[in-house]
Order: sequence, then structure tokens, then C-alpha cells
Amino acid sequence: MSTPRRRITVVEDSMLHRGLRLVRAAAVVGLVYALPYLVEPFRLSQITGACTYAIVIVGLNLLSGFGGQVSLGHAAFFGLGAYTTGILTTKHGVSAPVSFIVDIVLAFVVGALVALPALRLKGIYVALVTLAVGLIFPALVTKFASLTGGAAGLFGVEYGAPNTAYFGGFNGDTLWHYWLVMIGLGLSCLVVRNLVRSRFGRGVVALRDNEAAAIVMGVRRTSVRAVTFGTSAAIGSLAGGLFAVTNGILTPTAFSLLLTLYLLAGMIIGGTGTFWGPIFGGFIVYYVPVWAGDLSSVDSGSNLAGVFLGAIIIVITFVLRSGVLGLLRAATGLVFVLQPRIPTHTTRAPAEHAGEAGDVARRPGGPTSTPADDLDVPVRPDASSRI
Amino acid sequence: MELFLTRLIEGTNNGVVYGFLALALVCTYRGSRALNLAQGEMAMFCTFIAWELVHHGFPVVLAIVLAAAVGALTGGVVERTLIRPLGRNADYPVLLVCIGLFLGVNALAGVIWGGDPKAFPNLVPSGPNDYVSVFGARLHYQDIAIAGILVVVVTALYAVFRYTRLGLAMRVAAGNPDSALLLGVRVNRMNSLGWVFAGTVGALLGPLIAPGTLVSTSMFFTFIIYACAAATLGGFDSPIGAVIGGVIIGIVENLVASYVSFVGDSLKLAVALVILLIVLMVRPSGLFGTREAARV
Repeated sequence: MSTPRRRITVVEDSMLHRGLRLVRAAAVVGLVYALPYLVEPFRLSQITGACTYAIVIVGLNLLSGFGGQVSLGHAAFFGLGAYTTGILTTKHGVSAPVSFIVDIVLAFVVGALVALPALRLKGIYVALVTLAVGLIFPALVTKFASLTGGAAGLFGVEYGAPNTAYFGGFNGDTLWHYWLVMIGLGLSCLVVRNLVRSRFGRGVVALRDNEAAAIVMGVRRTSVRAVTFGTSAAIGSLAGGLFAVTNGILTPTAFSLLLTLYLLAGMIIGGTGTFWGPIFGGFIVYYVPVWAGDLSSVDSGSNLAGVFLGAIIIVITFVLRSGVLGLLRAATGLVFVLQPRIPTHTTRAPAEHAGEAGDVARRPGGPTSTPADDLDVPVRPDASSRI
Repeated sequence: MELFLTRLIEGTNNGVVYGFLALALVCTYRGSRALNLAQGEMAMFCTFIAWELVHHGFPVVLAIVLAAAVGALTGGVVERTLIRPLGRNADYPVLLVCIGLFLGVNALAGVIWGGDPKAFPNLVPSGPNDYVSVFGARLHYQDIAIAGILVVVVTALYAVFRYTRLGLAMRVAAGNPDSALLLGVRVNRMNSLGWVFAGTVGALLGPLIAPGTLVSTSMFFTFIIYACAAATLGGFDSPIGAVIGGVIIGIVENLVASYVSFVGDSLKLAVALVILLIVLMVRPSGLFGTREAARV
């Protein structure tokens, strides 16, 4: 591991580091802006679909990747948002933006409530609680058919584009949906990023890595876990609301256990506990069934896709736990070396780069010699030993 | 009274199936602490193998025995290659592997045998008149056969665990792996054996219920959920508990669905899930399970 290759050393928070990050951010924004001009409307609506799933995975990643709690019920939160928006807009004349806010609040409350029984439990029992919640949801949707349209589906959910020149063209709606989902995705990513880098987020990660130690250090387990679960559910629910207005038709089978499993697969393959991984994950969840020859939806008999996803999950669990993003990081690590700032007692706490920077720094061959005896070194997400 | 009895028997019959699959879940959980969500899919795959054999002219009994052998083999192989390397205390990775298996095995069966459900012959005569009348309620031979085989399997497992050296070794390996290792028990091998048992039990169940459910890739989708509820109710480390939990869930669900008009058939599964949630909130170790205590 001691090949002295010529790599560019980037000091954390130096001008160069900030510049590189600025370039990366500008590239992302530029790409999002340019995509509608670059691809056909048909492709654009596919990208919209993929990014809708990406939003759910961003939320799931907060819970599972950073919080270390598995959820087998996230399709239910996705569906909760979708049906709330669907019912409010079609039956009660509520405008779509208002319904999105209702989605978020409702799912946050439900999520926090689900977290409470899960708090006392460990391991597979947490999975069982979320599994039960996730499965009760489609049954209830089918049961209350007068409200939800039942198995036949809920039709005509829409959110018309504003009357401007940009959205005025023939593909105005496609473009409008694209921007709606992009804004949702951007907001969700920001929320998760800022949450994870805050004091709260350090508590979340500390609970994952060593619950007893975290509690001793003063992390409030009940509130932290409940808020994490609630936020994760709220993000999933927002995605559901966007799914409702972009899709127009809702059926209970679209929110089955299989969707949850696909979302988990997407999260794992994209890169668990990373910031960009969920976005790759969304594309995987959407495109793998498409490529496998099934164009309808993720829950029909897309067999080859299932074989492929199943095999990849198992392979990734064994050899590449940081997913696609881990590969990308390894690739950039061949060119750049991130040298972390040495934490000192006089400066502010150095824990804000708990996610990305920490991982790069710990890469074999990188300058891992941060002073471990310094008491200010925070608990870092130990992705390699967990997921 | 007759109607009540019919519903009771119906519920018991369903419950026996839930308990059967829950027994498989318990066998894997005891050793590896793994919730094998893919248990139903593995059983489904073996059922397809049995169907293929019957299709090629094998007698039904022989086909079922061969399928059970395949189930035993796959159980062992999965444990050895996919579960054991992840190590102990790896709840999350193990669950992920099981999810991967679930998706993969289900889809693989779809690729090989297609999406159309296939008929499977009964093990015992099951014409319209092949039933025993109990106070006017009908008890079909096939249901009796399933319950009978379950009783045999449970008794055999109980006898192995209770009266043989091997069973003792398995129990100590599950209860206290570290001490077991020091005593010379081959803990890993015992865990493998748990998976072998589970694979066999699942593969036995599949062909038995296949005449009713038909052989299809989705035949175990709901059963695995019921089995999770049954195993939770009975206690995840108690084989007897799993069976009793299964029967209780089958009966309660059927009676609630029959007598509470709001629930009806469409919320049957929800009844089992609510039971699951209540058990987890009130008594996570279940009726017969041992309470886990951790030293921090």
C-alpha cells in the first residue's frame, strides 16, 4: 500500500479544495439545467421517474445508511404521500403545493410513531415492525376503495405547469414535472446533508456505531431516532406526492413490498451512507427493469432484472460495501489525495466532514494519521464495518 | 355451531401452513440470528423442482422427497457460502443477502418456468367426497395430511433436540456460541445444520400446499409474512412456539375476518400484522421464546 504515485494533494478547506467542490457543484447544476435541451422528452420523463425514486432513497439512506436502521416499509411512506396528494387534489380541491406540505407533515408524524415501538427492539425485530407497517398500507388502500379508488386505481392527479413561456411548449408538462422532481431532489439532498453534518447528525451516526457509548455521551436516543425516522419518512412521502402528480394514476400494487426491496437494492448499489449514492440508486431502480425488457413498472414480472439485482446485492454485500460511489471515490483517489485539517482545541469542532471527507481520508494509502489520541476527534461513520 | 366449526377448521388448516414455514424460519434464526426472508422463495424453487419431476413421470411421493433433499442441500450451501462468511453479529448484511436471495431466486424461477401457475397433484385422494365429517364440518384429507406431516416433523425435531447428542450440541451452539466453541462443539457446522433443517422443512411444505395454491413464483408471498408473524408470536427461537403461533394466527385471523364485517377477507393479512406489532410492543420474545439480555 505504499506506492508513492504522483497524486495531487488537496488540503481540506484550502482554496483548491473549495474550488474543486465549487466546480463539482457547478457541473451538477449545469447538467440539471442542460438536460432538457440535450435529451428527448421521452428520456426526460424517464429521468424524472428515476429521480423520483432517488428522492425516496435519499430518505431511506438517512435512516439506514447514516442511522443504521433497516426499513422494510418505505414503499408505504412513498405511497402515503402519493395517496395524500392524490386524494387532496382530486377530491378536495387542495392545490398540489399545499398537499406536498401535508404529505411531509403527515409522514413525519407517522414515521416518528413507527419509530417508537422500533426503539425498544434490535436487529430483525426492527425490520419486522417496518415490514408490518409497509404491508398494512396497500391492504388499507384496497379496503377504503371509496376514498382511494381501491385496486382499480386513482386517476387524474395533476399539477398544471405555470403559464410561462418556458413551460408553454408542446412538452411543457414533461419539463414542468422534471423541474418539480429536481427541486424536490435538491431539497431532500440538502436537508439530509445539513442534518448529517449537524450535531444531530453526529448523534445519529454515533447511535449507529455504538449505541451504549452514544447514550453515555449524551445523545438522546428516543428523540434522535424518532426524528430520523420521521424525516426519512417525510422525504419518502414528498417523493410520493411528486410521483402522484407526475404519474397521474395511482394503484396500490405500485407500493408493494417489492418496491421497498428494489429501493433497498438501489441504495446499496448506489452506495450506502454516501451523499451521491442514492441518486445513482434511483437510476438503477428505474432503469434496470426497463433495460431488462419490461417497460411498465417495477412490480410486474421483470424477471431478468430481479436476477440481476439479487445477484448484485449479494456481491456488493461481500466485496463493495460502498457501492458505485465507492468505485468512483477509489477512481478519484488515484488522482487526488485529501489531506484533512488537523483538529485542534482552539478551532471549532472538526466534525463537519463526517461523510465524504472522512471516508477519503481513511482510504488505504491516504494520510490516515489523524491524531487518534486527540479527544476532539469525533465518532466517524465506519461504513466499512457496517454495511 | 357448524359454521363456527368450519371456520375454526379452516383457520387451523391455514395456521398449520403458517406454522410449518415459521418452523423453517426458526431453524435458521436459532443458529445464525438471521431472518431468512428468502425462505419462502427457496421453498417455492424446490416446489418447481418437484413439479418438474412429476411432469417427467416421477411418483408424487418420490418427487417430494427429492425436492426436500434439494431443499436441504441449498439450505446448507447458502449458509456456508453466503451467510457464514459475514460473521456473527452481522444482522444488517445478512438481511441484505436474504433480500438479494429473495429477489434473485424469485426472478430465476420466473426465468426458468415462466409466469403461468402450474397444477400439482395431491398427495392423498381429494375428490369432493374425500373428507372426514366432524360435527358437520368438513376436514379434507389433504389438510389432514399436511397437519400430520407437520406433527411428524415437529416431533422428530423435538426428539433430535431433546434426546440426541447432536441436538444438545445444536442447542448449546445456539444458546451460547462462545462457550460451545470452548467445549468443542462445531458451532459453524451446527448453524449449517439449522439451515439444512429449514431448507428441508420449506421444501416439504411447498409441494403439500401446491395443489391448492398452484405452483407459481408468487405462491409464498403472503405465507412468508404470516410465517414471520407466527414465529414472532411463538418466539423466534422456539420451534414448538412457531407451530403454535402459526395455528393461533390462522384461527384468530379467520375468526376475525368472519365475524368482524369491517375486516372481511381484504384485511386478513392486516390482522396477522397487527398481532405481530402488538407482540413486538408488549412481549418481543414471544410466547415461548427466551428473553435476550445484553451486557453493555
